[in-house]
Amino acid sequence: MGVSLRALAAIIDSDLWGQDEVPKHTVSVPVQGQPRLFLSTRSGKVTVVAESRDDFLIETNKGQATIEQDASGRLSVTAGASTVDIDARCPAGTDVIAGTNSGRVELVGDFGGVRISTGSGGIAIDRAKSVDARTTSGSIVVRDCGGRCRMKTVSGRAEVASADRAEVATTSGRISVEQASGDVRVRSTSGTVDVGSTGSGDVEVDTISGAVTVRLPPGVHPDARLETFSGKPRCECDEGSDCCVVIRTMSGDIRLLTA
Amino acid sequence: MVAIAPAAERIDGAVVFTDIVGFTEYTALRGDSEAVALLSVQERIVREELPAGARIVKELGDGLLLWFPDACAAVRCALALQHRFDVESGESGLPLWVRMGVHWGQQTRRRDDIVGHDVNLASRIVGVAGPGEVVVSGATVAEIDAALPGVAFDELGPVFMKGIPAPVHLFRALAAS
Repeated sequence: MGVSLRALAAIIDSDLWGQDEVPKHTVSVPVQGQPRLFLSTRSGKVTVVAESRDDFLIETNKGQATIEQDASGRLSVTAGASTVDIDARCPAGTDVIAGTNSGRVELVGDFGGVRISTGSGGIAIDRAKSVDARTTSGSIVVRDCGGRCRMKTVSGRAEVASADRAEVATTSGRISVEQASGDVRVRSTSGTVDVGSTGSGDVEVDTISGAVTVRLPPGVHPDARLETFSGKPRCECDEGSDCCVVIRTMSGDIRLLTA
Repeated sequence: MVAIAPAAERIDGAVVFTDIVGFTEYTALRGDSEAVALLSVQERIVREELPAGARIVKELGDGLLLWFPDACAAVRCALALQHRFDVESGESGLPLWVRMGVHWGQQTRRRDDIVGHDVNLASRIVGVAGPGEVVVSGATVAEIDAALPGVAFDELGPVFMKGIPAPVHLFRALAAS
């Protein structure tokens, strides 16, 4: 059963806006169980900060967002047709689900499971246990993902600095997986692909025309299969059976390097 | 004389859109005949996997519009198709990178075609899926109502899609390990 926070929570209308700014209001809601946030706004920006605290603190445009907490404790903030920014503060480890059409989504701090989708807005995630991020033309940048990092774009770039497992798909967007400790699966139509692996997981990359570079640490000897129809394959690694690296492309060049 | 259109027939069902990712680039690189061969492989596999009662409504370039009378059958078939496409790609090297969108709702039958808002919605859902994925609407999950053992639904959240006024709750369907 949904409970309106107008009745449930202490509403602290903050008189922080100036004459030309959109009036805001701020709501503090106690956390129940595993903290979970559900955020939806068509064109506003979403910013979530995870920090050491035991409540949710939500700031939105006054009167233009509905804030509800369901019986499971999940807090939902949903905005209608107008541009509504959502600023949230939550406990570290919070699970976040968020969707926008054109607004940017930015998550700062340590999060649990994260699911984000945008149309054209960029997505930036600091640290999370798992990530599923999807956008059409926005870019996705993830700093650290402790588990599976799944990213999908059409034309935007997809970058993760550090992840366990990575699953990435783009049409023309550039893909960069700086360091993965688990399995990596990449598919791109024409975007360039750059993957760094610790060699403790398998790497599989498919492109139609994008160039592919995969880097392994010195001393890792992969079972490598490099297939290109019209590109140039180049392998600098001594082969072995430490991990499996499969790279297939129609026309892009392939490089398997020791970094 | 006034032409009288036959009464439109409303039907309930699951609409599945498929789309081969990278088909345009593949065609540009390998030529029309290989592109047509790729489509033939896709169509053969789909025809082999379609259950009784389901049908291919029409071909849409490199995609297909499928209709199922049952939501469970639609999701089960979509996952089976992805498995077959994956095996085929691995064995033949063909880029059968197919994405799929599934939506349960009401459609209007127009001769052999189906039209309506729920068909349009399904066509948008497929754009959210990545290659090899099956993305389904919340309406599909609700219709299945836990009656599909062996399949898990990973929540993706509210997704805004072009031409659809409100965000749609979507899930990624996957065979439970």
